Parts: sequence; C-alpha cells; structure tokens
Amino acid sequence: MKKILAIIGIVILILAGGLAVSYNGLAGSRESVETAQADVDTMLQRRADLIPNLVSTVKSYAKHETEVFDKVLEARSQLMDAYTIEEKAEADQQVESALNGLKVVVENYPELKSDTTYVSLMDELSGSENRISVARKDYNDAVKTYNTKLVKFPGNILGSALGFEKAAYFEASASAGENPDVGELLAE
Amino acid sequence: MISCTAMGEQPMKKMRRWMAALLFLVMMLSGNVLAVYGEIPSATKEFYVNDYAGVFSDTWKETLCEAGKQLHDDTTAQLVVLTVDSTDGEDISDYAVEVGRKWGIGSKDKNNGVLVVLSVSDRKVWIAVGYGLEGKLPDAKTGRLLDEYAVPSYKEDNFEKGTVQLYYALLNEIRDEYGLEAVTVPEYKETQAEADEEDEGKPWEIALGLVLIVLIMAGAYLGFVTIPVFIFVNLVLLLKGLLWKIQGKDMSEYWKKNFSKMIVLHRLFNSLFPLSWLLNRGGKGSSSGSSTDNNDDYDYDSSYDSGDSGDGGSFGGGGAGRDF
Repeated sequence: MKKILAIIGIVILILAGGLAVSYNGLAGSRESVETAQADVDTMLQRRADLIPNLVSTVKSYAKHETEVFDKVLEARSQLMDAYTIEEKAEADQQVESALNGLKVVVENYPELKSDTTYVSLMDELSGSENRISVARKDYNDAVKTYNTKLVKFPGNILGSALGFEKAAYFEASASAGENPDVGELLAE
Repeated sequence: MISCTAMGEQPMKKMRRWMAALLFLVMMLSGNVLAVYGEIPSATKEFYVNDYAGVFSDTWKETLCEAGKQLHDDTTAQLVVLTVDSTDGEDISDYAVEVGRKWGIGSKDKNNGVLVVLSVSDRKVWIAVGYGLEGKLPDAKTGRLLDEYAVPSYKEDNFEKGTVQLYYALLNEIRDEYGLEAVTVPEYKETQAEADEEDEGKPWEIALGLVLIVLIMAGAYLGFVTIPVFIFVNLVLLLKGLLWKIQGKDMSEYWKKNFSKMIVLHRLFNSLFPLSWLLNRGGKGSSSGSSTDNNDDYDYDSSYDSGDSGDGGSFGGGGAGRDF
C-alpha cells in the first residue's frame, strides 16, 4: 500500500513539474509576442512621424497634387487610430500604397528628386519601412512560436484552463503589397 | 532442397531492401549538399571583408581587414563588407539584416555592427546599421555617405575604389562616435588592383586546381563506391553463412572457404576508407563542415586571417541603400 502511494506521489510530482515547465514556456512566449508587438508599434510610429514632414517637402515643389497628399495623410491618421493588430496591419498597408502613389508623383518633379531634404527624408522613410518589415517578421515569428505551443499538448489544456489566447499575425486581410523599393525610385 | 530455394528468395528481397536503404542514404547526403546553395554565405576567415563577388585585390582586402580589426580592438564595433554577385532575388535590405544577424556583427550588448552589402549584378548596395550606431549613423546620413563615397565609383564599375572609400568614411564615423581621432585614409591607387590581377591564373595554380579536382573526384569515388561495395559483399558472405547454417551444413567448411575472403576485404576496406576520407578532406580545404557553410567556392588566395568573428550583435533594419 505504501509503495503504491509513493508511486502515485512521484507521478503527481512529475506531472506538476511538467505543467510548471509548460506554463513557464507559454508565459515566456506570450511575453516575447508582446515585446515584438511593442517594437512593431514603435516602428509604425516612427514612419508616421516622418509623413507630415515628407508631405510638406513634396508640397513645396508639387502644390497641385492635393489628392495624393490627402490620401497619404488620411491613411496616416487611420493608422494612428488603429487599435487591434488586424486594424494596424490593414492601415499599414493603406499607408504603404498611399506613399507609393506619392513616390510616383515625385517622378514628375526632377528638382524635387535631387533636393537634399527630400533625399534625406526618403532615406529615413525607406529605413523606417525596412525596420517595420523586420519588426513585423520578428513579431510573426514570435506569434508562430507562441501559437504552436498553445495547440500542442500540454499547452492546449493549460492554455484553455488559464485563459491564454492565440495571438493574431500581423498581416493585412487583402494580399499585402510588396514594400516599395525606394532605392529604385531614387536612381537616376 | 525445397527449403533452400524458399529461403534463398527471402534474403534476396532483404538484400534489395538493403540496397534501397543504401541508395536512399546516398541520395539524402547529396540532397543535403544541394540544399545548401541559395542560402546566405558564411563569414570568411578574413571576416571584415568577405569578397564573394571577387572585386578586391589581395592588397586592399588585407588593408581593409587590418583597419577593421584595429577598429574592433579600439571600439568593439565591427565594420564588415560583403560583396556578392546577386542576392538571388531577395530584397537586399532583408538580406543584409539576415546576414548581419546570422554573423552576429557587432558586440552582443552594444549592437554596434555595420554591414555593407554590395550586390554587383543587381547593381545595388545597402548599409545595415546595428541599433547601437543608429544615433551616429541615421539613415539619411548613411545615404549621404553612399552618395558621396561609393555611388560615383560604382557607376563606373569601380567597385573596389567605391567600397574602400566608403569603408574609411564609415570607419571614421564610428571612431568619432567613440571619441577617437579619425585615421588617415590611404590613397586609392588603381594600379594595385591591376598588379594583383596579373597574378591570377599562373600555370602552377591551374595545375594545382586540376590536381585538387582529381583528388576530390577520387575521394568521392572511393567514398561512394568502395563503401557500398564493401557492405554488399560482406552481406552476401554473411547471408551465405546463414544459409549454410540453416541447411545444417558443416560450418567449418564455410569458414575455410570464406574466412580468407573476409580478411582480405577488411584489409582492403581499412586501407581505402581512411584514404577516401583524407582525400575528401584535402579537397575541401579549410571549410568547417557545418551544414550551413556555403563558402567552398570562396577564393582563399590571400592567406589573411583576421582571427575575428561576430560578437553576437543584432540588426533591426536601419540603414540606407542605393541602386547605381
């Protein structure tokens, strides 16, 4: 009888240990998802901060292209209002396509293209876009790791019992546009 | 006799299965080798200049490597150049971040690495700046440095000159960040490159290359032919013994007939197998066998070895690039 009790005790200990390890793994993964999400937000904000400056620089050369400016500024304010990951991804794509429209317009203004302020701003912009794409990828990798843990045993049981929820990927629902190649547009 | 034919078929089947398994193994091994291509290259032993596109002369490669090593000793920052023929369709900025992270350029806690990627056929250049140096080298400034030092030479297809000038410009920016005086930039002379180029393709070098190729082929032959043959023959002999045993024949007769064969086979194998291994190693030179290594095609003409490697720095996508 004692033996059986001892064996049951050991089994319970092992199970509890396993659950503790699994819980720590889940909590750690969720933490890295949150960190990665904060990084994405920082980079999105960084680009958003550049946009007013960029628009005003382009405006000084191309006064009449109001339609493009409105589109960019509207997309920017939409991004600032976005709350969930899905909304942000959607708005991020809007900003990207609006900026692409702006870059196409700039092609018609050679003096603007060689303006040093504009060149600097475009470098900052393409750097920001690149940072966003890196942060986005890191975020999606973190989400993948976390979500995988949540569907596998014992994370699936533990996760539903303790209220862990799946994280959303950062991707627009429509086919996400490629990052514009600013370097190409700058080439003479 | 009946049992003999019945048993004789099964070992044959078994043997076929064995052969299939062996073939599978060989295919897996060669598939593994093929899968390596298309990945990002590994850092070379020079580390500071990784000239996969072959745009550098030995002299400049060594000069830059020594400057890079000095910078690392003075500041812990790492300034690395990678030239490739093409990024295989991958966006050069993503490629640069990938390489920078994989090589761990810059120190782990300061993330003070800078990686210049020059893709010659794509006619693109990108400078990736680690988090720790983004203050000194913001994207706009990095872009200006490119415009000033690299792009004019790149447009004339003078990749060495542009990269050398860019390297020293970046180097002095980093030195400034750490409160050190700028180093004097050595004057770029084109003749240096030409003098080196004449060196290439000396007859003895070609002969050496041919000998190496023959050695590699011989090694591969020994490795892929002798081992399967050895296993096959051994298996046949063993199965034969098994049959003798099952049929209840005199086993001493079997040993008498086959023991000497086995001995010879073992001797042969023992002498050939290490040889094939040695030959394979010799052919591959100093590549370090890790599955992601992809630098067998790297031209190790210069014997320079910086002795440095990445310190674990990371990259977040900062930097600037140009098409030329």
